[in-house]
Amino acid sequence: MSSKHFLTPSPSAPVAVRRAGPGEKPPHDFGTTPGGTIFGTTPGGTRIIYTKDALLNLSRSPLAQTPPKGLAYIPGVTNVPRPKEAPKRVEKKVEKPEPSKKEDKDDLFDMEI
Amino acid sequence: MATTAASLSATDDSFQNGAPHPSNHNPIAESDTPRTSSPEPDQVSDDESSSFKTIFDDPKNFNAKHPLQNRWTMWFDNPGKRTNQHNWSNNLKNLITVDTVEDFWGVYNNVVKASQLTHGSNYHIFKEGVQPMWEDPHNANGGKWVVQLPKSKRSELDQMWLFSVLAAIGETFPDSDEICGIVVSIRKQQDRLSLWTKSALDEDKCRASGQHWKGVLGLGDGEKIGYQAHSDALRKNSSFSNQDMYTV
Repeated sequence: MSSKHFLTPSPSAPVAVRRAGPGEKPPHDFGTTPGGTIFGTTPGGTRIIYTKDALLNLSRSPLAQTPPKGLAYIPGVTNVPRPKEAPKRVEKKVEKPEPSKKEDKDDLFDMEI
Repeated sequence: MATTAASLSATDDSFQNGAPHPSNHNPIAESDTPRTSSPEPDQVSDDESSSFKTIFDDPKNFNAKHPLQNRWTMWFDNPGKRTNQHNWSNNLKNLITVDTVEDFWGVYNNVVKASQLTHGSNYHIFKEGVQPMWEDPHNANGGKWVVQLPKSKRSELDQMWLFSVLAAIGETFPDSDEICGIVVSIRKQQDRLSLWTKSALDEDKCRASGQHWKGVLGLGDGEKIGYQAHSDALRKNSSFSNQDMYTV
C-alpha cells in the first residue's frame, strides 16, 4: 500500500495544463510545461525537436507524399514532371517563330499557285 | 516558397496526451494543387496562410504542417572527373529548401534513393545559408565525421542516410547548433556518409556529435569513425585522404 502511494501520483496533483487557443500566443515558458509539449524541447529553450519515430510517423501523412512546390527538376533524380508552365518565356519564344514559318509557307504556296 | 514555420497537423499519437496546442507558429497552408508551378510564389503563400486548416478543423482536407527548428536546403551534385576545386560548385544543384516535416518527406519521397544514384553523386542536406563546401564561413573552422560504407553494406546505406538526416532535422544531436549538414557520397569503391560540424577545434563538442551519430547509425563500439578538419581538406584539395583529428 505504502509503496503504491509513492509510485502513483495522487489524482489531485497540481499539474498545470495550460492551453493557448488558436491565434493566441502561448505562455513564454511554454517549453517547460509539466508533462511535456507536443514538441520535445530543450531545457529552458524552445527548440523544436522530433524523435526519429515521430518523424517516421509523419512520413505517412497525405501532405508528405507530393513534392513540395519548387522542388527542382533534375532528370533521374527528382520525381517532378518536366516543367511545362514555368518556362512560359520559352513557349512564347516558340510561338513567335511559328507564325513566321506559316507565313513563309503561305508565301511559298501562293507562289506555287 | 512559403517563409513561415507551420503549425501542427497532428497526425501522430503524441498529440492526444493533453499537451497544449501550439499556436506560436504561423501556419503554412498548401494549396490544392501543390505541383503546379506558380510564377508568384509569395503572393500565393499569402493567400494560403489565410486558409490553413488543422486536422481538427477538417479531418480530410487539413493542410497545416509540422514546423522544423531550422530551414534545410537539399543539394545534389555529380561532378564527374573533370572537376577541380574551382569549378566544382558549378555542378551543385539546389533541389529545394524545406522548413516543415511534411515538406521534407515530400522531397524525400520524390527523389531517387541514395543507393540508386550513379557513381560520383552526392546528396547534401545543409542548414539554409550554409553552402555545402569547405569555403563557406560556417564550415571554414569545421570538419566532418566520416563513415565509410563498403559495398557489402550497400543495403544499409539508404536507412543510415535517412536516419542521419532525421537526427539532424529533428535536432536530436547533443549540440545541434554545431551541425552544419550531412552528405552522402556514392562511389565506386565504397560509399560515404559525412556529418559536417561547425567547430573542429572544440574536441568535446566534436566527440559528442560523433558519438551520437554512431548511435543513430547503429554502429557498435568496435566500429570507429574519424573526424577530419575541413582546413586539412582545403589545403590538400582532397576530401577523404586526410588524417583523423579524433576518432570515436
